[in-house]
Parts: sequence; C-alpha cells; structure tokens
Amino acid sequence: MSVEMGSLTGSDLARIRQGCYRVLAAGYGRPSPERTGQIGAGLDALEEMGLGVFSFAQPLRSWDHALAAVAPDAVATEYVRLFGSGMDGALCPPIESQHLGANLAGDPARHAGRIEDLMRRSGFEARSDDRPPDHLIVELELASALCASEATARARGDSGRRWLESQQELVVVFAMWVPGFAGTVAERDQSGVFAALTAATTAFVLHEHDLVRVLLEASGEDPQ
Amino acid sequence: MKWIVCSDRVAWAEIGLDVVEQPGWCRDPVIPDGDDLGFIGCEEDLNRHHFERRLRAAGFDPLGIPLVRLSGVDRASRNRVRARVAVASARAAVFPGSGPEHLKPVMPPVVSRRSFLSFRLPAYRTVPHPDAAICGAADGCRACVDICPHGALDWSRGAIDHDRLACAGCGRCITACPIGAMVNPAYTPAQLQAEVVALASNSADPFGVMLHCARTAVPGARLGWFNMAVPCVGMLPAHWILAPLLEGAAAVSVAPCGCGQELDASDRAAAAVTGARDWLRAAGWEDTADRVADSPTESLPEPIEVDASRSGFDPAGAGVVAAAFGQVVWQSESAPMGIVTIDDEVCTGCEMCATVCPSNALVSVATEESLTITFHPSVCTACGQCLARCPEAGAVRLRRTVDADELAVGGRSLVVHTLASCIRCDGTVAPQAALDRIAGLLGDDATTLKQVTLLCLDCRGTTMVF
Repeated sequence: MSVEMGSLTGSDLARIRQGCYRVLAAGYGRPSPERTGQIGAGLDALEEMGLGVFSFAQPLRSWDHALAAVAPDAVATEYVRLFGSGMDGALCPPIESQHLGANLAGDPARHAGRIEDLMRRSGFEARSDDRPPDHLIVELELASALCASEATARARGDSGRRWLESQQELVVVFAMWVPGFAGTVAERDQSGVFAALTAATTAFVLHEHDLVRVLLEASGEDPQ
Repeated sequence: MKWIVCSDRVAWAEIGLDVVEQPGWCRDPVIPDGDDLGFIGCEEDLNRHHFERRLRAAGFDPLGIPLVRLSGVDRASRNRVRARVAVASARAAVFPGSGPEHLKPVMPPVVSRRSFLSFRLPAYRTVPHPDAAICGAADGCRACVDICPHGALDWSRGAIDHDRLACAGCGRCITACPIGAMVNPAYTPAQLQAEVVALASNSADPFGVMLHCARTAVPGARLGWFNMAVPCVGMLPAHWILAPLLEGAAAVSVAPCGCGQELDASDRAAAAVTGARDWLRAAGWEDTADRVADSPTESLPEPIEVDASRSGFDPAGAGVVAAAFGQVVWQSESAPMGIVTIDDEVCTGCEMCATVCPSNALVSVATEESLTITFHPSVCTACGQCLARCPEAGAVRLRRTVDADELAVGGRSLVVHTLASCIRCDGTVAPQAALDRIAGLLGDDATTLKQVTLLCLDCRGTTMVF
C-alpha cells in the first residue's frame, strides 16, 4: 500500500472497494452485538488501508458513530420496523424491484433474473435462498466478490476489465435506486442508524458509479 | 475561531486573530482530529488535492473549511490580510454542505509501462447538481439541459439525469436555472454575496472585485482590487457582474477565460460585460467603463449609492438589480428579465406555459367559466421555457428587457379563455379555444369530435353522443 506516496495499486484499490461493499452488506443484516463488532473491525481495517482519502469515508464514519451511539436493542427493533414488519407504515425493504419496478416497467422476476444472470456469468451462486437475488445484501455481496476477482486479476498483472464490466452492470442500477431508497429510510428511521447506513451506501455507490467508469476508461477501451 | 498559519511574515498579533503559528505547515499540512478546528490560514502554493485529502482523512468536509492563500497578497497590509480572512470566514459561514452527488472523482493512472496497475490518489472536483426538492423538471422545465454545452444533463421521465464525469463544472446551468435549483456547493450565490459583503465591511477605501475563472491561475491583484472566483466567467449574466456594485464595490472587472475548456466562454463573458455596461448606462451612470472595467484600474471611483433589498446573485437577482436601479428601460438579447405576451388568437389555453414556468411568472387561474393566464414581470428571468414548450407556434412571445414601466404595471392577465361545459353534467370540458383546435383536427370524424368536445372526462366513459 503506497497511500502515503500519493498513489495506490489497482489491486489495493479493488481490495478497499471490496471491503466497503462487504461492510455495507453487513449493515443490512439482522443486527447483533457480534455483527456490530465485525462492522467496527471492518471499518478500522479499511481506515488502515487508506479509506480516509475517499469522499465516502466520512459517511461511513458517521454510520459507525451512529451505530455506536444507539443501544443494540433499539437498533434491532428499528431494523425489524423498517425492513421486516413495517409497523407504523415504516416498511422500506432493501430490495431493488420494490423501488425500480415502475421505472423499468418490469416485474420483480426481471430484476432478480438480471442479478442471477450476472452471478452465473461471473461464476458465482447465492449460498442461501433466504433472500431474493435483488436484495441489497445479495447485490452488495456480489459486487464485493467481483471486486475481489478484480483485485486478484490485477495482482496477476491483468487490467481486470472483465470484472469491471460486470461491476458496472451493478453500479449503474445501484445509482438509479439506492439514493431514493436512502431518502425513504431517512424519513422513516427513528434510530438514525439506518439513515446513516443508507446515506453511506448512497455516497459509496454514487462514487462507484463514476469510479468504475474512470477505471474502465483507464483500462484502455471506452466503457459502454 | 482558531486559525493555523504558516507564514511568519505577517504580524498576526496586529491582525487580531486567534492563530496557531506553524511555519512550514503548508508543505506538509497535518490536520488535527476533532471538531474544534475552525479555520486555516495558508501562505504557500500548497497542493490543494493533497491538502483536501488530509482534511478528509481528519474527518472534515474540505469544501467547508476556509482556506486563505496569502500568495499574491500584500502581507504588510493588515487591512488586506484581514479582509481576505473575513472573506474566507464569510464563505464558510454560509457553506450549504456537500453531498456525494456534487463530487466528481478524478483518478488518473500513474503513467508508466504498467499504467493500469496503479492510480494516483483520488482528487475531487465539485460539480453542480439539481436540488430535487425545488427542481422544476417534473413540470417540464429543461433550462439547465438546454444550456449545458457538455451534454452532461438530460431530462428523463420528469427528472434531471446528471452525468458527473461529462460535467466540466462550467456553471452555466447555475445561472440558467430560474429558481436556483442547480447547486455547486463550492460556488453558491450566497457565498459570493457573503464574500462581497465581507469585503465591504472590511474595506475603509473603495475596492474593486475581479471575477475570474476558478480553474485558471489567480491573476495578480492590483491595489484596491480583490479576486473572486466563479466556476467560469462564461456563466456570468449581466446582473451577477453588477451585483457587487449593490453591496459597496466601486468597480467590477471580469478576467479573461483562460482554461480553454469552454470555447465560447470569452464571447459570452464579453457579451455579459457589454450588457452590464448598457444596463448601467440606461440607469444613468456615464462612467460605465470605470464601473465595469476591462481590467483592474489604478484608481477607483466612489461606490454607487443604491439600496438593494436582496442579493443580486440570487436566482431572481436581476429583479433586485432592476429595483435598485429604479427607472430604467433597457432592451437587449442579454437582458436577464423579460416581458411575455400571448396571442389569444393562437393560444388554446393548454396551460403548458404556466405549468412549465419555474419562477411562477406565468400562472393560470381557472374558475367555473373561464381560464386566465396571468404574468408577473418582476419574477420573470427570461429563461424562455414558456416559449420552448408551447405547442402552438407563435402563441407565446418573449421580449428580453428590463423595463421599469412594465415592472410598475405589475401582474396582468395575458389571455382569458372561456371554458366549455359538459352537456351532461355541466362540468368543465376544456377551454373553448382548445376544443376549436381539436375540431379543426377531427373535422371529418363527427362522432369522435362530439364525444371529445361535448362531454367532460368523467362523462366520456359512461355516455355516448351521436
């Protein structure tokens, strides 16, 4: 890692992005003290890797602070209220088709099929049937896996273009629905934790939306 | 408010600031953690991106931290240093906050044989982004899309799509938006206004303001003149050039655009300067070449004495300047205000003009019998959206002018349409002019014509008219 020298390798960059996707995905899992600890450790590791130079670092830190400031029980209750039971009209599932169905003129199966197809083409498969393929956790984990593959390819001297193209398929759609989803969560969240989480997710995916294009351009061919 | 300063060539004790002196700090800025850090003073040409990364790593939003560059400033002049610090302070006080949508990452690969393997650390450029809460795109406004020279803005499904990577940050969309929905948090109208007010309150002598492109090297400031950065001088409308004069600046100058990214920026800036001078001349000032100077002059005139109710940098700032200048009639293609008229022989009363008008200069009011479209000249910014979106050629006309007589008249009704009633329920069908237009199109289809023109929407599904 040569952050102090003013540059970083493509492989390290992909590792930082992989870590951010994983940490954010963990944030949408059912809260528990263990998971909160894992998120904190993950963010600490990212800070050591050079997270601080990116514009999305501060929203991630704000989420970490919000998570530390609220009692675990309150976080768990709010999680169920927002993403589970939807009591008091707060339901706001982190599922792509729930937010994009009308705009893309498609049904949930179309969104799920798109993700499953991308997984298949990338050589991955979901290990659990608990969540639909277009659930944000699944999509973030898939993006994380694609970044890991890119990092491995770059470490071997490859440009990682194949993996960047797959990432672009995800981040273009992230940028279409995650900001709106975050706005809805911010209106309904009573704990502040999930508003901070979705704000951090928005900051990161909007950055990814642009960065993946920049990386594709740097890899030699114009992105589609 | 605490400032970190690296220059030991300024008598800080005489300036009256709370400072922490750290000579050489510019070369390797170490930003302390925590929220109690207020402001930072700096002398050398520091690496801006490196500095911003340090701030970001320490948990600050770089855009919200005031940075005073003393290079090019006479350090022996306490007033000048104090004014610079006051400007930075004032900007920070009205910083609106930035979001990820305002930041465009710039991350060039390291040039080498294996260039794809490493990248420079990210730098960020701020770009404007529409504030969805007030943006008029859902009503059909495309003022920003129409003006963007880089194709970075698009109108899609009633919202503005913004391609940050294509955006050059020239800022034309900011001044084209009649309601100030396009926001670049580094250069908001409120920040520019705060800068001028701070200069006025810290300058005992007359001072001039030189507007220059933020992307080009800061021109050397002549005695009595202060530089003020805008995204690009090609974005400047005439009332932004005149706005500093309302707050006490004695003169304004616009530096040439030197970035080379906006090919027509110099022509646009020159047109705006000419417009500003014409406007001043129409308002009764003869020394327009001194007030809006080609370049910073050695001597400055006395400030003009006018009362401005609000900021001339506001989205409706042209109206503020017009009100401050009083009895003025100035007609020009570069005038930032306009008078709309509607030809009632052509208008069908579709209300598209009133729907799309972002500044509510055009408003439609319907009663049971009639539909009236009214016009309020004091808020018209001559954006031309009514003209562009009207489906009937020649129905809407826009005369670009600042006309005190028209402003004195105030709101007026432009056209009144009779509303046709449903033959079944007596409810409203549509303006009779619109039905006449439809009749002209459906002349051969008598059954459909009757169905459409005689029944309201509610009755159309349940009743047939033959």
